[in-house]
Amino acid sequence: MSIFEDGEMAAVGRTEAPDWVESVAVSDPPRFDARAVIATGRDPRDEIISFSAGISGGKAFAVDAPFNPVPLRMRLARDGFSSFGCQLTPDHWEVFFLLDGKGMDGLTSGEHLDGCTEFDLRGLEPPGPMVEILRRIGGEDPGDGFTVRLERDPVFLYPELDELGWSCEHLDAPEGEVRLRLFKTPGSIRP
Amino acid sequence: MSFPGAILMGAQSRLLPMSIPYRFFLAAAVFHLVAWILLAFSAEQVEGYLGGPGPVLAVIHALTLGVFVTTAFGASFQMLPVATGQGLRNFWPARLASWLYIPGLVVLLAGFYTGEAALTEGGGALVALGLVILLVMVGDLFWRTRGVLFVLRLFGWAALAALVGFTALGLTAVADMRVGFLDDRLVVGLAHLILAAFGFMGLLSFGYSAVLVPMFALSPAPSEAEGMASFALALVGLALALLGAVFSHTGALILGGAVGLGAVAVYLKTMVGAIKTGMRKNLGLSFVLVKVSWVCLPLSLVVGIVTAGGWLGDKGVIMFVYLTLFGWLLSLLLGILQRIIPFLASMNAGKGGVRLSELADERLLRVHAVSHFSALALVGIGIAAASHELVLGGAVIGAVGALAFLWYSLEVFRRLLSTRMKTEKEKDVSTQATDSSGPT
Repeated sequence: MSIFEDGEMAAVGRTEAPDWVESVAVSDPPRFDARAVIATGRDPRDEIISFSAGISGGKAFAVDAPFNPVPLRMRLARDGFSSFGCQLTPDHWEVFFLLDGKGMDGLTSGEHLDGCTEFDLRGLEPPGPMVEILRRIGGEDPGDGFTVRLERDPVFLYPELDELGWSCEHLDAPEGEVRLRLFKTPGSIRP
Repeated sequence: MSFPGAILMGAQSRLLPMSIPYRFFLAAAVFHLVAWILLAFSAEQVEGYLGGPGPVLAVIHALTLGVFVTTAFGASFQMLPVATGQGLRNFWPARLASWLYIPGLVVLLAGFYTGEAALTEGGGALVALGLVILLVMVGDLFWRTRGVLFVLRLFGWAALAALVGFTALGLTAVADMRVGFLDDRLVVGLAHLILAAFGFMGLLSFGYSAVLVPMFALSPAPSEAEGMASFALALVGLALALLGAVFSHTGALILGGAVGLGAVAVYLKTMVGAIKTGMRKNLGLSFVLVKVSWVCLPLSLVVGIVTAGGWLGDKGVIMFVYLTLFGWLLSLLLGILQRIIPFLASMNAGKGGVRLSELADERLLRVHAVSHFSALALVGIGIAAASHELVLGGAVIGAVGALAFLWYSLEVFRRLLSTRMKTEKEKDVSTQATDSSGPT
């Protein structure tokens, strides 16, 4: 299944797909299924980077992942890849990468990636990370969700999140790092 | 996998089994009630008390060891692993500490109340063993922590050193009850008080406040420079006050108090800054207690300085101890405890958890706050006016407030268990429904 198979985009993000996405999606680009690698307990990051090295200028490839691979997208952006991701099912993200040389333009930590935003909160003294997360949630436009990179599990954050009608899930992260995806709890009537 | 307000695997590994922090917090709530009841029974003996065994000593230790140190046990075991990212090596020493410390304290209080040396020695030994476990476990956490919470660790290490000091002096005073080898018990008593109240509890509360107050107010971590300035001043003030106590040097005592006031000024500036810049503007009743404690802290030091100068007489000593223990430390810890208890319950609720706002019964907290402030005022006026009737009246009202606080703590626990049982039942019903709709 692809995001355009039914003629209707199933993306959960706020950002409209860029023009290049539709043509790439229908062209059946080379595809890397990271879900299979992750299921074996391995980190597919290096394999995907090697895979991307075989993509020539103007060409694209797709990655299937069980979550939005924001760190990978930022890493490949440094190599010139633009990307667009879409959540097809709760456990399946399809991300298209196009080597157009524009990847790094505006794509830094904290920039929007299809409605998902990543914040690097490592290096902040406790309770700084928790406060920063709640500040963003309580801000004028918190969006539907964002991801954070931390050094420690923000255990004291969870009751506060629950109180605000937000939830979170752990994303895969290297040792010594914690990555969380925070999102509005579906059906929550809380602010 | 995700679920509302997720308590996830990594976090859970640093969350203690709920029974560990709660046994300490519930014990603190019980000792709080005991302290006010004992004060009611010893109201006539408060005036003119200058140390030694008896009901007033039992009141003081029901509060210091019973409420303050017991809360420090629970908060340290629960909060430090989360804040530092270093898990406790084992849970059993924390349980062992509770088995030694809590019953030991009951025996010690009985010994103080009755003046029975055997009870005091037995209880004192058990309490000291519990404190050694606290020392080793918290020291180990600080030792393994690198590159984070520098100011908290500074205060923490100094507090642990003070713990060693006040425990040694306390045991010395206990031994002296039978043998009578001390030339001047008052010197040991004063040094013990300074180390316990301002050394251990004071430094620990300064250090923990640097994390807890911004966390509750939702403000950034305080400036490290201010924290270090406050720490340096507190340490110098403590050292001077201790020297003044040991060598009966009035000038050093007064100077120590004055430098301590400097440390308090920097600390309060940081705390007020955290509240002003915090996103959460309505901090609730808990912070009314905390703010009152912040008024009582410098006030107690001023009364201490004036008393050391000989301008207030024996009444000044009692007022100094009262403002330090009841006004500052008790108000502060009850304010923090009433936030921590539902917070931890919500975290421990885990999957399908219960919200903070559903756990806390504000009505009980209102009863407690009104009673606490009324009791503080009445007992304070009673001490100043040498009226044991006012002290008695204040103590009875304080006991009503303590009962409301204990009820509040138990109610949080009951609501948590009730939610857990409801969740389990829903799971069972859901499983049964799935089973019955399957192929037969």
